[in-house]
Amino acid sequence: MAVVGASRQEGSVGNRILTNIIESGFNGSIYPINPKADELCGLKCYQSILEVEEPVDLAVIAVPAAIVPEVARQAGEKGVKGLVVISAGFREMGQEGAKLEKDLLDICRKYGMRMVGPNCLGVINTSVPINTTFASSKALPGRIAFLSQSGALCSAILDWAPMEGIGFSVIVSLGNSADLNVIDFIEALKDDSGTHVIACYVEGINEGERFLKVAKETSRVKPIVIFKAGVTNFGIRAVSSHTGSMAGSAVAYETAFKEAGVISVNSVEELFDNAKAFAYQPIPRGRNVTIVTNAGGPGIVATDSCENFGLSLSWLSTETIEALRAILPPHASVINPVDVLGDATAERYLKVLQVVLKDHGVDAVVVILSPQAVTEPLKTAEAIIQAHRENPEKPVLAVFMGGEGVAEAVKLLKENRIPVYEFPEKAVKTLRNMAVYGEFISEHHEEEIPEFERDLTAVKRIIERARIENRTVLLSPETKAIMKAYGIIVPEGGFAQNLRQAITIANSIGYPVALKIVSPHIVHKTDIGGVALNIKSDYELENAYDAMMRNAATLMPQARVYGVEVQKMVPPGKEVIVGVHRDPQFGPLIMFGLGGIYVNLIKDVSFRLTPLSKRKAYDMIMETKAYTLLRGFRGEVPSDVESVVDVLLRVSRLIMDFWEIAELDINPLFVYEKGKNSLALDVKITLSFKR
Amino acid sequence: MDEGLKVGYFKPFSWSNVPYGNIRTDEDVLLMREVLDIQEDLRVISPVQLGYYYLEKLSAMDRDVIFETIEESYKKLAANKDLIVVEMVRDVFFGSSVSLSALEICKRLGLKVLMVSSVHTDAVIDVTVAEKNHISWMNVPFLGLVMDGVADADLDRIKRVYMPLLEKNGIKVWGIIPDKTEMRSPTALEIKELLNAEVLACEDKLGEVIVEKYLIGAMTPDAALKYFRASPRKAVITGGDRPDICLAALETDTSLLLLTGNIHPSPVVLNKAQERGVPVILVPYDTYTTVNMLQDIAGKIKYGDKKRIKLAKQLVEENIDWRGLLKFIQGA
Repeated sequence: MAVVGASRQEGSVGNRILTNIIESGFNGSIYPINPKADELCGLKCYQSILEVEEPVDLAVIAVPAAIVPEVARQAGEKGVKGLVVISAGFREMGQEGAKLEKDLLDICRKYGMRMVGPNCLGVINTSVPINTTFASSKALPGRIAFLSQSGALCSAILDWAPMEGIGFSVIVSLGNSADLNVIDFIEALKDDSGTHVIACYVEGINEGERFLKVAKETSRVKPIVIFKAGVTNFGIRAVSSHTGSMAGSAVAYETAFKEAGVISVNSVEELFDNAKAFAYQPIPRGRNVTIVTNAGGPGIVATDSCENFGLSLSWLSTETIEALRAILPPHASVINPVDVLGDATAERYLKVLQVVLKDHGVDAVVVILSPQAVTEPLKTAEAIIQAHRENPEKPVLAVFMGGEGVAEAVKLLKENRIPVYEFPEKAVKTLRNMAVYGEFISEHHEEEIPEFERDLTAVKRIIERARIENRTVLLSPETKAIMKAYGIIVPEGGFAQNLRQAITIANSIGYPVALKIVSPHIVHKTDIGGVALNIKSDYELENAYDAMMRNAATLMPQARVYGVEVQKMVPPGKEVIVGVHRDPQFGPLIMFGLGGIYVNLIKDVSFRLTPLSKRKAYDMIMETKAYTLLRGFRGEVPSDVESVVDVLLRVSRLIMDFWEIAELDINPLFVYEKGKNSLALDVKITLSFKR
Repeated sequence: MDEGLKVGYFKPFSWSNVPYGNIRTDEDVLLMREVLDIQEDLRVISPVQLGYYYLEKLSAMDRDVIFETIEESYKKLAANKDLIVVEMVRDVFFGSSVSLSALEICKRLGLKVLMVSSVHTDAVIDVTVAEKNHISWMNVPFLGLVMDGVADADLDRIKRVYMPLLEKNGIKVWGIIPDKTEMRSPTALEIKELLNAEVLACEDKLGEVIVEKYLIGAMTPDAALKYFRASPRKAVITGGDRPDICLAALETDTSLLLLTGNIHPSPVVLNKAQERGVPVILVPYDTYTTVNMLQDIAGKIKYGDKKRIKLAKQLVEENIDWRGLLKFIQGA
């Protein structure tokens, strides 16, 4: 390994890296490179990497940005396989830096080298062992891999973790991720036996679709916990000016994480609350939790938390209850939460834990301790360690409340890999995430993506015409034609360029009809009187047509009116919405929700990424309150949910067939009684010709 | 001119005058003077300046003096020319109340009338026919009609309904010039010059891109993307402190990123703009002031605008039977 920019000057980055590598216990050869020195830290120093006689696998580069490409080129000539570029002064500094970064990347590609950074803190691997960072703190060995898009956060965590007894298998500060990004490392860590959980601090993910694929595969092998920062409006602004890439929407990240089985957390603290539990405790088989406590209050808090976070309190078996009765004083609670009382000794804790952990109805245990007069924190910690050792297949999370009184016990628990929390909520929330992950790995299986007969040519023709006419918003007759091409039912009708054609269409489909103005320049049709409903005769149609043309000419004289859409009036159904928004990072995001005028108020919506399987489509419907309505609320006849699933699947197919479709809204989709189908009443499609 | 003809230009009444040197004159006059390379003084090319309330000025002047001035200019300009284009204001009735209508001028100077119309509604067709009848009644030679700025959406109606009616009424249509956004919309360079803006990225692209619409970016980033996708070839006006909006704009078909308030954006945003080839300009004004200033960019060919002059020539070449028209003028 070569360290380019190694230095004698204490406190300098180059010096720190060299000493860190030496002190990490790295057992390969280390070649400091510095043209101004002959010897550094007792090692022979070289003028350039090309002067090193032996082969070099990895080069850590900490020289000024301007000369990094040249150093990288020399490394390439030397046959180096990997670079860790610590130097800053690249993309983050502006257009010249961006050019420098591109040159650097080109050199890496040319020589087939892979690179971490630039502008990063470095990389640590505690099993090699190696530490190429310039951080002043050392990482303890452990099972957590930590990937961070913030170098500063990395050094803070490095400083904090030993205090918490948290150890790492790998730490990577990703920097600008010019070459290797968070996805590459997740993919690599999937097969790293030393890593049991991958914890990430992420501001943005650039290859959303690849992330989804890699994360899905990795999640099946080991858990990934991600803290995605920059999700609020102002947070997105901050991330935008930090990373320079369009953040995917918060809902897209949330959906992607959920679909990939990623555990999504909302703070750095939670990231490690989870990581330490996933690293050392088994995944629970179910959601049934038993709480063992020596205090009533904290027991109630934990109980509430269980319900709030979607966990259940286990029903203890009769045998367990009997056994507990024999162990505990008569006035102790032997049903869940199990109250071992304020005078509980370590021995009582041990006996109770041994009993409840044996109960088949118990999937996980939260042990709460509040320091009271006769409490034995240290011995109780030992008891928990012992009970867990005897029953290693069930997770045990400890909550030791207090400060100095429990400090020693907490330390012991940490050393013995029992996750310990200050308050019950954190433990329960972590347990919930473990249970959700458990469900993901046990249930997950790939599903068939249904195929449909469809008229691709018809859609192509419409999109091509819009492209030629420089339109991105399709006209209503066009969106209806696209729906028809994909087998989604729309009201009968057609497009008329003049009154005569409109009357012909109305007579062929039969009155009553609705009339809508068609113009690329009129978005809000109703605002200018561009919609007329329930027209019952030729005479009424003519009146409505004239009024519409007059309104358009006076209220929007600049608008080009293509004609009118004549549509058969249809009976009302249950109103739902199906929408698609193409997320810049994760691709098409399909939305389903309750329709009608209260949409924005109620926000009863669910999301999935494409492609949809039948089951995903059902799931997204069932997640909403709209489902209760469709199923038949208070004695109503059930609606045709199958037809909504069908529409969702067809829309998913459409959006995958045509990358040009950026936005799509079926609002409303009228859903009729079971067996009577649903109907896309109004459809909006926006195209984007930028790939 | 390309046919080897010597072509002149004359506009008796100048309209919507703009300052030019120490005088005010019509933009069309400046444009045509440049296109046809006319050496004559602007006051000869367009001797009478008029504005919105023109009758007060015309009625106060002596009609004979006006006529003499016009005739004098015309003679100077028409000397040694094979053909002279005389541009009138509005329609054939302009100036009727002071006996200075276009047709009276035509009679005096011996001109033939070609009508150019850019509005295509039923009412305008009626008026066109009435004007034609009036021209015949006044015994002025009539050449026909050219339709300008025709949108695709109107083409069907024009061909199906208007053309037969115009023909029936003896109006020859020499051509239909389609509406081209490139003729109407400013380039990013014109906007930059109007606002005297600082260029932060892609200076080389400024002259190439056309701005068809202005959108103001002040919404949440999620809403922005949907909003921006609906408008291609737009300028997005926002502050340098809205990197989220800038990135959403760069994700869609954007011609120009116009940053207000003199706030420099983060370098990574500029990198992205450079990558995507979207010019970024910065002005010191607030958004409201900027938008007001932009109102001044009218969709007209300005003198010196070589690109649009070339496009205009091409549109005429492609859509007007100008050889037939020329023959007709020479023969009639």
